[in-house]
Amino acid sequence: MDPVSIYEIIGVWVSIFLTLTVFSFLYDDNPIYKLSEHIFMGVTIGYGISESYWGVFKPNLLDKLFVWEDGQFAGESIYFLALLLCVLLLFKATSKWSWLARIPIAILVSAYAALKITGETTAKLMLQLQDSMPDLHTSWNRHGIWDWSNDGAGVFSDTFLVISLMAILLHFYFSKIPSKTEKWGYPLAGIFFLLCFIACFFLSPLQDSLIGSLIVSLSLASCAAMPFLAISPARKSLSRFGVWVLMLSFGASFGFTVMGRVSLAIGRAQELLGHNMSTERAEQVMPQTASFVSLLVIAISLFWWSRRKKDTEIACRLSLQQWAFSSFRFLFGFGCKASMNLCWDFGLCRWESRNFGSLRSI
Amino acid sequence: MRQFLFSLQKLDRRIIFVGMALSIFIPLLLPFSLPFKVSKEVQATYDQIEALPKGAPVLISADFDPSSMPELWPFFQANLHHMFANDLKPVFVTLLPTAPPLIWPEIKKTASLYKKQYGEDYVFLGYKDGKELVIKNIGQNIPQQFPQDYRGTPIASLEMMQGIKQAKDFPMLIAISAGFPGINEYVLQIQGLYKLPMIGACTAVSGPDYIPFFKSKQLLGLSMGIPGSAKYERLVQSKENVQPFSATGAKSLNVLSLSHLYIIFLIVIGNFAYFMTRDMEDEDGPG
Repeated sequence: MDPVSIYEIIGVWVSIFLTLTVFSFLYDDNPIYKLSEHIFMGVTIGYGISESYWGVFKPNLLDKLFVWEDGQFAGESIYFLALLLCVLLLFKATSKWSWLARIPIAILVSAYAALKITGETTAKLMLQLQDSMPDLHTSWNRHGIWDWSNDGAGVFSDTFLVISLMAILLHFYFSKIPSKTEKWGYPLAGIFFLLCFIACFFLSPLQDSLIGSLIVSLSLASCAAMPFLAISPARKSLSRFGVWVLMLSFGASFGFTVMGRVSLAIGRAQELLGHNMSTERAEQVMPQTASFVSLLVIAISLFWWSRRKKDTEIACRLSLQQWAFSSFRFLFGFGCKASMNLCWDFGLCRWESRNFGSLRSI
Repeated sequence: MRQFLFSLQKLDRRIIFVGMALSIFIPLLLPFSLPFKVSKEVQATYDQIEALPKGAPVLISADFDPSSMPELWPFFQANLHHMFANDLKPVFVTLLPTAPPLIWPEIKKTASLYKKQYGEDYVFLGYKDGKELVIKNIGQNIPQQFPQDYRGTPIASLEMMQGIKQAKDFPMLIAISAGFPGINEYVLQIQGLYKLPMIGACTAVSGPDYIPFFKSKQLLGLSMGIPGSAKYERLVQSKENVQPFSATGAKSLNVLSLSHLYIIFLIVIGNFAYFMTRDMEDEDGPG
């Protein structure tokens, strides 16, 4: 059995303590949680800066630029341009020269757009677009109308996909349809449905299966008629259907999100109990003892903190009352004194002015 | 009854958290096993790797960090055993700075179980900052992007890397991804451009985003979250020549099932209480 180093043991104990301090937020926002939050932020920023310097800035810029051979500059001068662009970014912090930062930002944005655009169009737009137009004949041959063993793959699912996609797109169509155009919605949809159905039924490669031809033709005709229903009065119902489909997909995504969060909690619980390490290692590190000690420390801290918080609240309330009372006394006293002074001054002025007038008359 | 229903709607959140903690800790302390079925996405992942010829190099991008370990670690561990048991030659890279300390010890440990030699049977190119740009360069020129491996050895001197210049020299790419950069970027920059067969393992949160890639066969296999990892782990463990390893995924899946039952129970009683008291007035006023 390899002995575990003291640094590893300290690391696991610190990790367990910090895990429980973060969980203490579930009780209430408290200083011990704040401590771990600040440690996390500090470590993340420190690690990020260090990685950026040693992984990007130094090898890609400094090591290529500041190269000296026999006392002579031997770096690649083109990298001065990169350095200049880096420096220009810092001007964002000033108000007068912040416009200079737009130059490197513009270069960054354009470079990133160029990097993304090929992949986005090739791998995402075209292929996904192609995949959203399923081949219903092949689908019927492989799965029929609904295949339980393949998560419901089949003609029904494919048709539902196309119709749902159109309904969702329709939900984001905000322009008003003129009433004259609206009148043509149902007739056009009907005509295209019939034409498409007849064409698909008689030209279907599924000649040996009448039911197959019928179902596939009906599905294709429904898909073909959908765009014309978008200009008919039925578009509101279709849009509503699109919203329902959206809600279903959001619900599924949310379910996955919950699963992800619970998975994180399981990971932490495994660490607290030492289930994420071998038995030999766990015997040396003693994660369960670490969890118990950390829990005890945190519980005592929370108890002390809540008592102190209560005391502070009482003290604040008392001092508030005292302050309010003394303020009243002060204001009252000040007001009385001020008014007395005013009266006095006013009287004195009158008396002095009278005297002054008498003097002038003399 | 009425007061009880109202009190359910005003339940202290801390009680819910305690219940959640119990639903996680109890099955961990008192383990049990629930049956599960291998999904077609995971079966496809396994089958695709099985179909590779012996000695084929496989590019594995292990882009996960401590926060996504519970979901992706079981997959990574099982994948290592699968690679070495099938005599495949994995080349590991990572695009997350916190990944190397996690994956490198496990790679060495598993390789030693199967008596594999570094440089001949497996290589770890390490971490490079640059995110999507690094992926783009892996597609174009690997020696330029990674002149040295994780240990500082020039990759030109490694036997296994002879003849490997770019991503399309690999018959398969496996992206174990916790988010950005990950499967999406690999599909955009490598799979889509070079039509490289690709398999993905992702966290549950990002799973729905990648299902369309599997449907359109851009991803030939997909493992999502703990369930995907546990299923793949079971498939690999059932192989004959695989060395025994801890089934962390299956253990987590049992806990996950119980905690989900708890969540479903809360949703049901919460809705029941809401619908039963919708037309009633609370004596204590709105809560």
